[in-house]
Amino acid sequence: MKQRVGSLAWFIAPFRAWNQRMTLVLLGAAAIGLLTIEKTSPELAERARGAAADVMAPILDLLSRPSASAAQAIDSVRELGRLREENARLKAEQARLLQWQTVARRLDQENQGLRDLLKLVPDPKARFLTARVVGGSGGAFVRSILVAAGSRDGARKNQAVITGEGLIGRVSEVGERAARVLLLSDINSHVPVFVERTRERAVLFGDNSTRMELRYLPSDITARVGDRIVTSGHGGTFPPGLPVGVITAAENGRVEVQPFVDWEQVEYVRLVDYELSGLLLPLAGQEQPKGPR
Amino acid sequence: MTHVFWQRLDLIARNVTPFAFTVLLLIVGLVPWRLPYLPPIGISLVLVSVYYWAVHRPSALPAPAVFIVGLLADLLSGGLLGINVLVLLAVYAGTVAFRRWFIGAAFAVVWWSFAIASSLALMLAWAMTWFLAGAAADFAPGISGTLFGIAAYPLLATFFARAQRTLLR
Repeated sequence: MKQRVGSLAWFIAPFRAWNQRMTLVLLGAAAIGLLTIEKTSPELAERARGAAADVMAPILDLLSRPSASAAQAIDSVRELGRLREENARLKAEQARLLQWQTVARRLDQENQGLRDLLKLVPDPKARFLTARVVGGSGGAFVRSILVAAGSRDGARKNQAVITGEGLIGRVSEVGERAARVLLLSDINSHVPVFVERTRERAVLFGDNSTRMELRYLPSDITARVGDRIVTSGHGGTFPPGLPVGVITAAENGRVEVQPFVDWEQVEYVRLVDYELSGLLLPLAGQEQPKGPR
Repeated sequence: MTHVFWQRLDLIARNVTPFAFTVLLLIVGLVPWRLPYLPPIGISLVLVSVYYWAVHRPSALPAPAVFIVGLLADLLSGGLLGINVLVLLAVYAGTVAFRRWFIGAAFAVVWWSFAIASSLALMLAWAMTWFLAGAAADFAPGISGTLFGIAAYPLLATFFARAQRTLLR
């Protein structure tokens, strides 16, 4: 009996090896099929990712809570050591900000008066939606986060995503309960921006690092290190004037931008619902504008 | 009857353990830890698991299971569908092909080979991203994540070896 099993194993072994190889080849072909689906019908892949995010968001949310507490505890221990200098810095900053507040109030009033004089069409109103970050970046060459707000909460594709400090990215996929935010540093992120001081238009490209590159600047660039970068609102996706970052290097035609927000540490973000699409529709329908000329 | 049922359930539970560990490591890589100096983990811990089982017992984590883990990684990381599947399958197939060199080899040899395998996996992922997205991504976050995986290998391998001894006799 033993002899027979042994001889059978000798007979089966090559087939088994062949079978394993065949399985690997078939699975590899299936993977290439997935890549083809991604390229030919991205909306299908997007829907699949949205559904996966919906399932995973509650689990990740549960897991991220203790880690957030741990991170806070570590932060508070680190902060204790520099409490005094932090306090002094904050006092100085508050004094400076109070001055700015006065300036801002005066400018706001002046701006309002000038708008009234010119009968300027007001910018569309933006609505905000606050969401918890529940998932970090899952790949070496993908920069995105998962937030616990989906279509049922009002999240829509292409909404701008901001924190108190500035823009961090845009909504790229929406599930029912969760949405994925493509960060500015992702290689697929291209955002139309202004150099705030010179009003030069450019496009901000992510390259997977913490620095982003400013491209398509006019050839005679006057932008220099320290200039602030804000969204231009071109394309209608983002509201204009959202702070993005600051220029840290400008040499050999390459202009680098450091973002205002450290997105690895972000716990809550705001999704900006900017109603420009509603504004653009009547223009596309060639309707005559009503009201006084 | 019930005895047979429990036995079967026990067997299934033992058989899915390596797969469950791998999925768990995938989830660990997705949680936003917000800890200072922690690099983006991504699938570097998943690679440890896939490599370990490919070396020590490929039948415990068969190729279709690796495919499912890769697909989950793609769906949950927000990247392009298929990249992680191909990377994990390539590491698995390559490791199984060179498996006989590792049997009975010193731990350091297996560890160094993992370092090479995960570096090659990183390069493969980079090349595919470059090919599909049409832009060269910065390598630095990938390198720190891969180094994290290599550093975590001895700890995880010790844990897997213990699990292999107790669960998969």
